[in-house]
Amino acid sequence: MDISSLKLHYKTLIYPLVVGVASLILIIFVIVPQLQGFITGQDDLKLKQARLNTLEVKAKELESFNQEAYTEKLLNAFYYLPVDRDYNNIIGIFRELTASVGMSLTSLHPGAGQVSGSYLVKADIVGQVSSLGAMLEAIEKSPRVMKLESVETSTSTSGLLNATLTVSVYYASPPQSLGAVDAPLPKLTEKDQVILSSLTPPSAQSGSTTIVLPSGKSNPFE
Amino acid sequence: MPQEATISQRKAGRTRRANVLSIVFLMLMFFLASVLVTLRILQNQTISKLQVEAQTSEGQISELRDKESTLVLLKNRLDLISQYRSIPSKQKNVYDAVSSKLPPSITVSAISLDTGGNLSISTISQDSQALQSLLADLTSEESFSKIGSISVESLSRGRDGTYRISLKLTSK
Repeated sequence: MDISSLKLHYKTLIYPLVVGVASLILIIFVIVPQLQGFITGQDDLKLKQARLNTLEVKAKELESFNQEAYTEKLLNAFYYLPVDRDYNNIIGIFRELTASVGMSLTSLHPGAGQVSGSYLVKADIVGQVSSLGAMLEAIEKSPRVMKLESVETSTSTSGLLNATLTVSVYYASPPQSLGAVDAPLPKLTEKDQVILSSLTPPSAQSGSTTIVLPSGKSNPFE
Repeated sequence: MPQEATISQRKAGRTRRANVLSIVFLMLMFFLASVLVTLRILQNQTISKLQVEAQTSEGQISELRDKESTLVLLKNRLDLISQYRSIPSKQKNVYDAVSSKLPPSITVSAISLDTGGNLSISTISQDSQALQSLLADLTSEESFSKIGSISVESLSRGRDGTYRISLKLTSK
């Protein structure tokens, strides 16, 4: 049996067989890999689209964010809760608090903190017994985040109250990261706005502004 | 002979049909493959376009880094301030609970408030009625919403008719 007779005999089968093999090769090497690639590509496309949407929204929000209006508020927030112990301001704050309730500060002793992010301050104050409540109220609403820990009082022969107040004064380090590109922008909630409005600027906290004028002649040689 | 011719004609027809069907199938396969390749190319182009747009947005965000830092810092401070403010002061609550009940005829000689919110108060008064009223007020249902317990540490009356009473209150 030669090839031509074999060809004649299997003529009906040879053509579909060759087409079948070609189709199989096409399916295995082209269609299946392309289909798999397309399916994974769709997932990738969705992720990239979502990321782009997030980035575009973030960029728009940042563009509309009024930095100047919030810079002053940020400074107020740092005054209320500084990044370090900030002893300089705490002395002034205690002096102002005691003066505002008609008491006077006799001594102030900053000490170690019970927990990290806070330290204890012992303040010795003198004043009327009736002013103590107002003093405790003033500490609660003070322009620094602080919490009353303990109170010890005694009355002197003059009728004035000597009190030692122990107060926890808080501070907090700034966050490690100031926002990644992909991270969504933090939103200021209504609660945040209420807190923001309650933070009075340090300049407005002292009741009166004292302007110190130079005494005497400006130029003594004139 | 005519029968053989008919058989061979049928065979030839079957072979032709098989060939046509095979070609149609192969063409379909080629068409499917080409559609998929085109879709992949289009998909890759879209992904590249998205990447370029994302890079542009990243650039914009990087330029506005100062604004982002301001907002992140502000939010951080506000969250912490809110957290500290949300913790009520036991000491203040107990002090308020007592001071609001003190009649003017009672003089406070000493107050001690510890870190646990326990308050010790020593008072002097010549008015026994005022002392009774103070104790009645401090032991009322309303007071126990703010204080945990109350105890009389000492009670004395001097020759001059002055009452000295020391009370201890624990916070709730």
